[in-house]
Amino acid sequence: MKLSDVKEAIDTYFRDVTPQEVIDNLTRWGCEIGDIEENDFRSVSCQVFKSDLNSFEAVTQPVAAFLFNCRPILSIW
Amino acid sequence: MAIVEFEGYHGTNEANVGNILTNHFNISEGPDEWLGDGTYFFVEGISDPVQRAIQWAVVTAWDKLGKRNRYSRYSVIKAIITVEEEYLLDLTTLEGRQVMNYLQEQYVKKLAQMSKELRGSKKATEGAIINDVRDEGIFRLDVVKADFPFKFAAERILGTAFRQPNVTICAVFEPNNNINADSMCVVESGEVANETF
Repeated sequence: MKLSDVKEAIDTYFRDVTPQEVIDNLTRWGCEIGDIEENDFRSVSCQVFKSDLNSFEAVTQPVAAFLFNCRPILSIW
Repeated sequence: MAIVEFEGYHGTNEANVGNILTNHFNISEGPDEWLGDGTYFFVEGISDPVQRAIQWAVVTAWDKLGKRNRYSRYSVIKAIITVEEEYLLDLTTLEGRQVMNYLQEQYVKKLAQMSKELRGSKKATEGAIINDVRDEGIFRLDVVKADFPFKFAAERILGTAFRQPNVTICAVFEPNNNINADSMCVVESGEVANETF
């Protein structure tokens, strides 16, 4: 395996995404999203249904793009 | 497609041999697994893989709290690992290390964007990144091979702090797919207490 074989896949996974993509993907995962305060990752505030806690949890992080890219890390919130 | 084949040596409690040969290898899971959740083998490389597998079986026999060995006899199982070259991440090569380095760079960049520190079970390790690559389907990865520094019994007793790798290992993520059960056989067995290093 060479970097040239997988670089595109890595870049796609870690790319910055639009707020709409984040929302679309959260919805696709079954998350219910509350009020979006601004159409900007840096101030997105929403409620995400956390199945492990079986409850809604407020998420206000400057990291919404990461929701899309790095789902496993969502659980650290 | 090119197929890569190499021998792997797995040191274990002799009592596990029957189950492994009948039901195949188990997967080691957890945040501290060096190369992610998989079955681990010593392979040809920096040092003698059979000797390293014996040393591994000996050091893992020792119960630090109970101050005694959990098992008295060890075995080393040989297995032939086959993998398509494009699904093997070989971190003993410059090309492989470039892949891992790029993954780490992107991972760190994202963490920095979110001003997030990872701690405890979520700490950023090679194993965690490899698990993410597989769990998230970033790209297909069947086997990872790497040189690692490891403290066996003597190094632990003496408290050495060497950072140079002393073993070459590989992790097989789906042993049923990459190891033919017919290739598996015991190549060494012995008394844990008789091994001195």
